[in-house]
Formats: sequence, C-alpha cells, structure tokens
Amino acid sequence: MSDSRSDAIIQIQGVTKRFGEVTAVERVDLDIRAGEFFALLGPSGCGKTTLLRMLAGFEQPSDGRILIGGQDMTGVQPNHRPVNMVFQSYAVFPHMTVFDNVAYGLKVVGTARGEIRPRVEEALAMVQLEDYGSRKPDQLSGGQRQRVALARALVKRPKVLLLDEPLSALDAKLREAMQLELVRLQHSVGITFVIVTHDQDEALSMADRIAVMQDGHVRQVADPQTLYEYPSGRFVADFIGKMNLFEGRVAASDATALAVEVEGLGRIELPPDGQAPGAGQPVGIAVRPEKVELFRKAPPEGSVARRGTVAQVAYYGDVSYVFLDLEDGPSLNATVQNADRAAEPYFTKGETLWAAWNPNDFLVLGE
Amino acid sequence: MENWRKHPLVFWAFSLPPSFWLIVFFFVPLTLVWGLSFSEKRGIIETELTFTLDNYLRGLEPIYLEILWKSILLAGGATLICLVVGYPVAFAIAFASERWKPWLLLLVILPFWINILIRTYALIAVFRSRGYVNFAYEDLWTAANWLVGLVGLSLGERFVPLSLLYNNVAVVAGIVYAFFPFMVLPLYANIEKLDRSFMEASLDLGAGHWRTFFSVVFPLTWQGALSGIVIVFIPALGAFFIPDLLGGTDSQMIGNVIERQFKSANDWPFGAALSFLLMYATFFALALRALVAGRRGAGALDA
Amino acid sequence: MAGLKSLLGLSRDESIGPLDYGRRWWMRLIVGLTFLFLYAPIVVLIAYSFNDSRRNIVWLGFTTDWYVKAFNNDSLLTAFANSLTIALVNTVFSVILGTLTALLLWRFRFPGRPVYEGAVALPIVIPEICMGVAMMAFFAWIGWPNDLPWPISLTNIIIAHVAFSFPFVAVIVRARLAGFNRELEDAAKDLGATEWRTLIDIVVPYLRPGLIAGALIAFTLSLDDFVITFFTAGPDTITLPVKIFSMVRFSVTPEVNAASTVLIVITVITTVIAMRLQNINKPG
Repeated sequence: MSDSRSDAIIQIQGVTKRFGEVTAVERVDLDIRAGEFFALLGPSGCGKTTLLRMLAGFEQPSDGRILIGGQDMTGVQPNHRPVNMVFQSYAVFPHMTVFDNVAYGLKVVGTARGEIRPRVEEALAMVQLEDYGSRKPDQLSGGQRQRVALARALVKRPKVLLLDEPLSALDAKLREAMQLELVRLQHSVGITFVIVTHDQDEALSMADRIAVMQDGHVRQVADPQTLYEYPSGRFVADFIGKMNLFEGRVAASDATALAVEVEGLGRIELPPDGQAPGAGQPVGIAVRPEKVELFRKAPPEGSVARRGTVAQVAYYGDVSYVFLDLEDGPSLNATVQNADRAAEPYFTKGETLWAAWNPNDFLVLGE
Repeated sequence: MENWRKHPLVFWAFSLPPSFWLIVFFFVPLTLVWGLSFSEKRGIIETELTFTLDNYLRGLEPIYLEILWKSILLAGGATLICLVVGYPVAFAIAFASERWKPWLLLLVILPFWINILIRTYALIAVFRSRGYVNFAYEDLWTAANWLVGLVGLSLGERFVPLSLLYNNVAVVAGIVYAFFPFMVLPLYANIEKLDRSFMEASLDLGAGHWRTFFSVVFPLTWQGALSGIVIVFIPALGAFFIPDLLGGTDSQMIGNVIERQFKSANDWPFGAALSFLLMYATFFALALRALVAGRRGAGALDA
Repeated sequence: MAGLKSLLGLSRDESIGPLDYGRRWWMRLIVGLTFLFLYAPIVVLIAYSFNDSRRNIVWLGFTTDWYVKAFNNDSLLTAFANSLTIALVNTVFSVILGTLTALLLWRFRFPGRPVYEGAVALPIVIPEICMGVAMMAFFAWIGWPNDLPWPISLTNIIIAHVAFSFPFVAVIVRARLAGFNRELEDAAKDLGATEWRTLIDIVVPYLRPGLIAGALIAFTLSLDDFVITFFTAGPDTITLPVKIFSMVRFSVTPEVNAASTVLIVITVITTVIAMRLQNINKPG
C-alpha cells in the first residue's frame, strides 16, 4: 500500500461532489501514478468530467480531498495548480495567434521574455506546428487546433496533463491517428496524462490503467487487459466490449468445484473459484462473443457446447456477428473472423449450428 | 424569399403604406431640418436656404464649443460609469443560477420601461438637500459626531447637507440612471454566449481573474461593450431634460441649446445645424459599430 | 441568519467554484448597490404619493388624497385623456404599418432591400431630440393649424408617434416571423387558398402573439414619450409626460407622484404582458 502511495502523483481521497440535490461523484478513492497514461471511462453523466474538473480546480469537492504531488489542493485556485488541461472544445483563444496562445501561460506567470520564444517554439515543434505560429485559430483545422491546445498546456511543463474528451470532436480517421500521437507524446514528455473519455476503444488502446465509472462511483481500476478479461462486475463486463450474459444460480461451490444452473443452458461446470458466491446464490455468467466458436459438426470434447439456429448475421468486413437462437431459449452472439476470403460457405440465416466455448472463458459475476 | 416581381400587387400593397409614412413623416422632416441647417434667418420664423455654413461655424464659437465639449464629457463620463458598473452586473447575471437569471434580467430591464422623465424626477427626490441620501448622510454624521465627541472632538457646529443636485455630477448620475439598462443588455448577451472554457483555460494556464478579464474576456466581448457604448452615448449626448432638471447653470448640454433655439430663441437654422451635428455623430458611431460587427451579414432589424 | 449569509455569498456551506462569479460577495454587493440605485428612487416616489404631507420630505401617514386631487385636476385629466387617445390611435396605425414592413422584409427580395432595412431602423436609433425638432419644423412648415377641435388636434402628435413606433413593431413582428414554417403557406396555397386567404388564415393567426406584443410596445412607447411630444405638442395638446414635466419644473407636490405612479403602473403592466408574449414567441 505504501508503495503505491509513494509513486502516486494524484491522490483522490474520499472525494464527493454534490450539485444541489444531485451527487455527481460519491466517495471516490483513486491513486494515479507518476508517468502513467490514465483514463477515466464511463457513460455520460457518470461523474468522470466532474472528477477531472476537480483535479483542475474548476470545482471544489464537497467532501474529501485531492493531493497533487503530495500537496493538498483544497482551496487552491486553478491558476495555482501544477496541472494543465486540454479542453473538449480546445478553448484556443480566437483573438490570439497560435504563438500567443502557447505563450500565454508563460507570460501570465512572468516568464522571462528571452525564455518564452524558445519554449513556445519547442512546444510547437513537439506537436508539429512549427510553421503555424503566426496563424489565427480560425485558419486552422480541428486537429490543428487541438495540437495548439496540447502545446499550450505542455509548454507549462505541468506535473499532470488533463484531457477532457480530447478526441470527441475529430472525425474517425483523425481520431485514430491522434490516439497514437497522444501515446507517443506522453512517452516523449514523460508527463502523467489523465484523460476523460466515454469511448472504450480510446481508453483501451491508449491508457496504461483505466478507472471505469458509473453513477459517481469508480467500479474498477485496472490495466486494459484485466479490465476486458476479468471485469469485476456486471456493469464493467457489459460496458467494456460485447458480452453474452446469462442469469443463473450457484448449484455447488467449494474448493474443488463450481457448478451453476443456468436458465436455458442447464448445469454448467466451471473451474473452482474461491471468491464465487455460495450455493443457492443468484449469479450472472458471461462469455465474450469472440470466445465462442461455431461448428457445423460436433464440437471437440471438453468444451461447453449448445445447438442453435442462426437468427441473423451482421457482416462488418473484418468480422461478422452471428446471432444464434439456442434450442432452449436464450440467444447468443458469436464473433467470427473473416480471415479467409475464399472460405465458403458463410453462415446463413436459418442454419443450425453448434456453438462451443472453453469453460475457462466463463466469467462469474455477482450482484 | 421571393422576387417582388412575382407578386407585384402584394409587394406594393405591403410596401406603400409604411414607405409613405416613413418618407413623408420622417425623411421629409429630417431633410427639412437639414436644409434649415444651411439656411439664413430672415425675420422671426422666416428662413431662406442659402447653402451657408455659418450655422455650423457658429457652433465652433468658443461658447458653443465649450458646451459641445461639456456634452461629450458628461455623456462620455456617464457612458464610462455605465460600462464599468455594467460589466460586473452583466457578469453576475450571466453567471447566476438558472432560477435567478430571468428575474435579475427583468430587474435590469424594468426601469427602462418606466418613463425616463419620471425616473429623473424620482432621482431629484432622493438627491436633494432634504432627500434620502442626505438623511442617511446626516444620521451617519450625527453618529460619527457623537463618537468623536466621546474623545472631545467635534466634526463641526452643525450638519451641512451635500449638494448633490444642480451640478454636473447630478447630470452624470441622471444619465447613468436613465440609460444603464442599455449597457447591461448587450454586455450580458455577449458574456452569456462566451464559451466558459476560454475563461477556464486562462485560469488553468496560470492567469488570475483580473488578467483573465483583460486578456480573454474583454477582447472576446468588446463588441457588446461597443454596442452598449454606442446606444448609451448617442441618446446621452442628445439629452436635454436631464441637464435641465438636474443640472446647474453651468451644466448646459448641446440638447439644451438646440431646445432653446427651437422653443424660445427662435433661431431654427442654428438649432438645425446643432441637431445635425448630433446626427452626424450618430451616423459616425453607427458606421463604426457596423464596421466592427463586420461581415456577419445581420440586417439592421435583426440586431 | 444562514439565509442572509448565503444570499450575501458569505456562506461556506457550499464550495464556490472559480467561475461562480454570481456567488462572490463583492459581486453581490455591486449588483445589490446597482439595484438599490435603480429602484430606491422609484420606490420613494411611489411611497410619497401616499404620504399625508404637502412637502414630500418626511413620512406623516398614509393617504390617497393625492390621487383624489390628481383626478380632480382638470388639466392633468385632460393630459391623461390626450395621452391615452394618442396611444390608442398610435397603436392601431403602428401595428398595421409595422406588420406590413415586417412581412415585406420577410417575404420579398427587391432592389435596395438593405438600404430599406436601414431606413426603417433609423427612427429607432437617432437621438430623440433630432426627431423632435424635425417634427416641429415639419408641422410649422406645412402650416399645421393650432385651433383644430379635439381630438383632431392630436393628429400631429399621433403622426410623430407612429413614425417612431412602427419600426419597433416591425422588429418584434419580424422576430416572430423568423420562426414561421413557410411550408405552411405553401400547403395552404397547394390546397387552393388565394394569397389573401393564406395571409388571413395562416400567417396572421401565427403572428398573433407578436402582434399583441407589438401593440403593447407601441402603446407604451407612445404613452411614455416625452421628448418628441414636447416639440410637437401645442399649448392645448399637452400629454401626461409633458404635463408632469411642467409640474416638476414649477413645484414638486405629491400630486406629481400620484400622476407618475399611475403612469408607471400602466406601463409596467403593459410591458410585462408584452414581454411574456415575446417569450412565447421564442421557439422551443
């Protein structure tokens, strides 16, 4: 525990934020380590932006406290915090040139004139806008304006860079390029990045660690792979990626065996799990669509296999989603890689197939 | 929108009555006064159009130049006060909660709908030597006198009321009182539509609130300030009953001179020239604002 | 006490964000003092219309005598009757002319349209005194007789009032028209309605709130006008504001307060109704 504290650049301790009757953030504890790329992920209204704005100092916590670099930020105004922000709208000052925008944060704190120019130029070079210093923001594209916002924040050499939905205003192609760009930038400057996003792909592909938020609470904090493969609860399992979720009841649970009676699937034997609820408890069990394999013939031994009819096939180019109606009621989604373009025939509607998966790929989700 | 040629009858039916009224009862009178400003007086009310510039030149005589200058000073001073007070008030309204906002706006607009003359009269009642400002001041004075009396001192023999009326300060106060809402509304409109994240970005980059105001807020809302300045300054410059009721003998403004030329001195050509000096100033201010507002393409009636 | 503290922005119960300018005590102080400056004189004026003293200085007790006195003052009553007559006739003309202007600018493209727009807006923006003296010179020039029978004698004032009122009506009606779905008009024509029927059956009903708001504004503008009337009115065609002006110049009695209060109440009520209708105008 003390280890994680010592390298935590941001410590959020029991922070609650109420707006009148509404509680936007409730008793959140979170440590963000120095130098990591951290994402706050959640649906809109989950409190992630409020949390970010409390880090920046635009909102004061109603309860709890925030430490940045070990210092209590309670009552510290935004202009005195060692963090800088890239706004969702970029907030690039329209009445200033690109150069003046980037220089602004240095000028207002009285940086020596001789120091301003080289630092601004360095920051502009970092975002590949060396030749744009004299342009006005209305002569820039959305992507360029975002780079200005980045340079303007980075030139301050903050301890933490806060990014509020930085990619949401960009089109899909540019967004992908910027994802890589942001990761590259974070590696080269070594500054802690905290990004707020509602887009799971963005969070998974960029962040070292992700905090998933819902209704003002942090549901899970983990690296992307853990989050995807071992979600801690129903919300995270459902929010990240696609999931087949079935309701069931624990039939047997001890150190050697775990069995769940699932509606429509019957009794399923799972690897033993020390944390699973006791017998008789309701549980959800889930499996990711890409872990489900489809067979025209009988599936191999040892897997969980059920028969079903193809209800619909959604073709996405690289993959297809096959929706099956299982014989005993529930429907199931399976992802099929379209790896071989000569593979014939594709699964067609009305066809009866075997769906099979490894019992190890099951997730047991409590309440 | 369709071409007028498609329905010429409808077009003429719509356009003739207002155009007639506007031309005959607005532009003809204005042109008449414009003509008068280049005329010479011949007898009590007879004038002759001689294309003389004497009326305008007379406006440059020291006595009138001084009045003109004083008008600009008084109107300008009042406009400045409106601007300086208007910004925080507009800010407070723009940043008020949704529940309070419409009420605060209503409170700012409401005086504007109360007769300006009555409001000026109301101001007299609180400003005069036996008015409420002086009553409050007298109470303070008495209390302060009693306090210093405790240590054996005295503020003076007896209370001397402030002379708040019949001077230039009263005129400025009267103008501010009359036109303040005109300043707040355009300021409010501009601050309201200013993206808050500009201000947040400025704070985030290390600027304080004052720096943020002067470096970010003002440069992005000064069009509202300019609108406010124009619509306060123009009527203030032409004010005549405010200096008449609140001012002293040396608080004459150009409006008073114009009024006198038409109402008692009967020198209409000179009055016409002075009133057209006001018109030229108005056109200049409007042109300036239009130039600044620039190519937004909004028609005058959309403003 | 807690309520007062929170009203003054001194309460620490809720944390104040850096942009919560409306919750800072010094902002509230400025706003409070501004409203005090704006309203205290009016409140005092109204209060003293009920004061049982000739001399408007100290409060001696409640009375409605000044209202009785004002209503028994013939010249004040005449002025009030003149004002109402002028305002009513002005309203009718201004609404018609203003609506025509708004429809014209909304519907037609024609050469010189921007110039026309500017010309219509001009009476709104020029200093009142310039318009006042222009009207005075105009009526002198055409030799307007001073001995016409009432209410014909008010015609010159009405003409002047319409000239500055109808552009305001045009602005309001045009704001309402901006939200009109033109396909409704096309639909009516498609169903066989003539130009005229379309205007009466479709456009005018849609415009109704705008028309009423415009009418109330025209009424208030006319009732309130002092400057232009001051230059246009003859000795026998005094309006209420002009009458109040001369009363204020001679002597200040609570009678003036009573007359002023009546005018304030009428205009404020009219305006509040007009503003509510204006809000209905706004889409969404």
